[in-house]
Amino acid sequence: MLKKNLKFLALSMLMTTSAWADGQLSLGATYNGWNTNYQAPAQDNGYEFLVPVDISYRFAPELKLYGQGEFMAANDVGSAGTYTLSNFSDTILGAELNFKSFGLSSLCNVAFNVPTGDTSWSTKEQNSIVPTQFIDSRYSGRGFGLSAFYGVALPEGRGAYNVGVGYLYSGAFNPSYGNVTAITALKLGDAVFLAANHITPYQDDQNEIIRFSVYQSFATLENNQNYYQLGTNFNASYNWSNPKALSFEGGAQIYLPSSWSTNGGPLVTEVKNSNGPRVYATASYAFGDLSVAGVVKYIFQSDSTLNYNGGGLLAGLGPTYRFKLAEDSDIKLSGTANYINANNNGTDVNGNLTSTQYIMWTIATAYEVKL
Amino acid sequence: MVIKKMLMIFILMGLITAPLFAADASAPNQGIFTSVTGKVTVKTKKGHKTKKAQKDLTVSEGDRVIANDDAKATIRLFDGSSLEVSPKTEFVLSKLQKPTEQDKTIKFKLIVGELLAAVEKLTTSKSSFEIEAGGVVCGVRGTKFSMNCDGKHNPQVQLHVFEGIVYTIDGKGNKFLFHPGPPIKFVNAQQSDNGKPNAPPSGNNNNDKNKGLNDLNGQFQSNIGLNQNKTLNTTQGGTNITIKPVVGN
Repeated sequence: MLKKNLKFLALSMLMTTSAWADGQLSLGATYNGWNTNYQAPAQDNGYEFLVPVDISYRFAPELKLYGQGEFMAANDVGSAGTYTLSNFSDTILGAELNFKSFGLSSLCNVAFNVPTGDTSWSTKEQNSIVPTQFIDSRYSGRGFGLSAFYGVALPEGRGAYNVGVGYLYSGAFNPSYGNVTAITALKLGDAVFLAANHITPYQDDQNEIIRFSVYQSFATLENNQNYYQLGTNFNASYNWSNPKALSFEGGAQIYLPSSWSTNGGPLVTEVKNSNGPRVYATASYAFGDLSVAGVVKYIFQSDSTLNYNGGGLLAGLGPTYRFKLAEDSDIKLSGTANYINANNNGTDVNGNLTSTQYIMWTIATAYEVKL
Repeated sequence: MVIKKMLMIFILMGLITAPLFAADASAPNQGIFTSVTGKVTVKTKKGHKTKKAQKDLTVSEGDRVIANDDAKATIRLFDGSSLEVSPKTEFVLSKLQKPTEQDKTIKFKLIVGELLAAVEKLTTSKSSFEIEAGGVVCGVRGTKFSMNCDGKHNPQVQLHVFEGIVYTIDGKGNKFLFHPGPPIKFVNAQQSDNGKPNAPPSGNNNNDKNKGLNDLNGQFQSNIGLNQNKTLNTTQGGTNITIKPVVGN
């Protein structure tokens, strides 16, 4: 009966599609490889092969449904041994609704994190991949989560101010693997997001965007007791985009000190901030279907004596080329090489802290087609 | 009783065969005016003559039809499709071809004004029925749609689909399918309406009026991933850097 109803619903939606009905499918293949100047027995290196799939369909001008997921096969060689993965990551299912509220253009987005990934992988991979403060993890294996975002646009001249608020509900996370800190049940902290931007369009699809946002994490719980709370995160950036020539962006990110709890006691703010401020700049230039992009990121050393406190530098460069296959489909090819210098991330033969260097390279392709 | 039966059969046969005769009213590769109101002129490709349109006048490939301010006309094509010509309209019959018994290629170039097309079903993949205006080509697979062009240097074109599906190729070669719905506007051969589909893969969404809101939403999703990973790595990595391997020279 339920199946029948679902079929009927799907058919109804297809039948009611009108001039604005459209969708897009993206199927990709990505290879990541990395190496460091670590010496044995901790010869950190690894590779990942990912097959990401993104699909979206707009059933009406106001409503878009989408899904994202990926399959990843990985082999990480780290100081704690060699780990392999062959699994799907979490799946994101979401709906985006455009409507008018208070007479203003508004957007509401609701997304579910469906836990189809391997929740042990983040612990396994963390001692072999490039530190995630330089390059974020490519794999998501978390618990059930729900995020909701609501934003409104306030027209101003030819541009607009946009303001939005988001909430993340983070369900229970399965931390049974590892037990580095004897965790038996972990629930990542919920979070509130407040953001504003100002966008100004110019001729030939050029845009200027100035952004500011605050991300407030709540306490992460261990066995239903306070355990850790990431410090409030402030972000600001300036972006200029020109799809036919030079685009660039510069930004800064600051974290307030985090808080820790001992044996379920109250959260105590760390004396020395474990997350130093960070700045970044990106630029890209389009030569028709070919574009070249570069990134530089610098993380200032923090005062923390508890966690990784080194900071460091990331510099990356890579081209992208888009082959048009037909009016409604194309293939994108891209490659990136990144150099990372992580301060105080290793020890020398005398046991003193010293920097380590990583090289990470990515080769990716994606087939994109309109539905 | 027998006479009644015979009469019914005769009427039925008449109904069945009527479209065949109707389609034959204009010869292959031709159209015929079935109604004309006001001053409508036809500039023929052959001989460059100018004729005043009237009922039963035939038109051929390459002919240019001009309807004055208060004029309108209907043309039935050799395949049974019909074209309603609105006042203040000028167009060229670019292609009126019937290369084989089943295939047909029909194309109009709309200079200014409005055409309303009621298209007979195209039975083969090689057949097409298209109207081009201001760099935008709209084609059908058996349907009813209108196309309007203001005829200016940077023309505005409006497509209105009433029945069936209309495919559209814009000035950049992007192809869209439109179902019945509100009119769709094109400026400089690019779609400009709110109902615009997502940009094709090779395009971008910079014209999207919700770009600022989408940008904020993207920031939120990005921050979730980044900060949750940060929390996970911190909580599962322990309170100290777990291992600091020896670094080479």
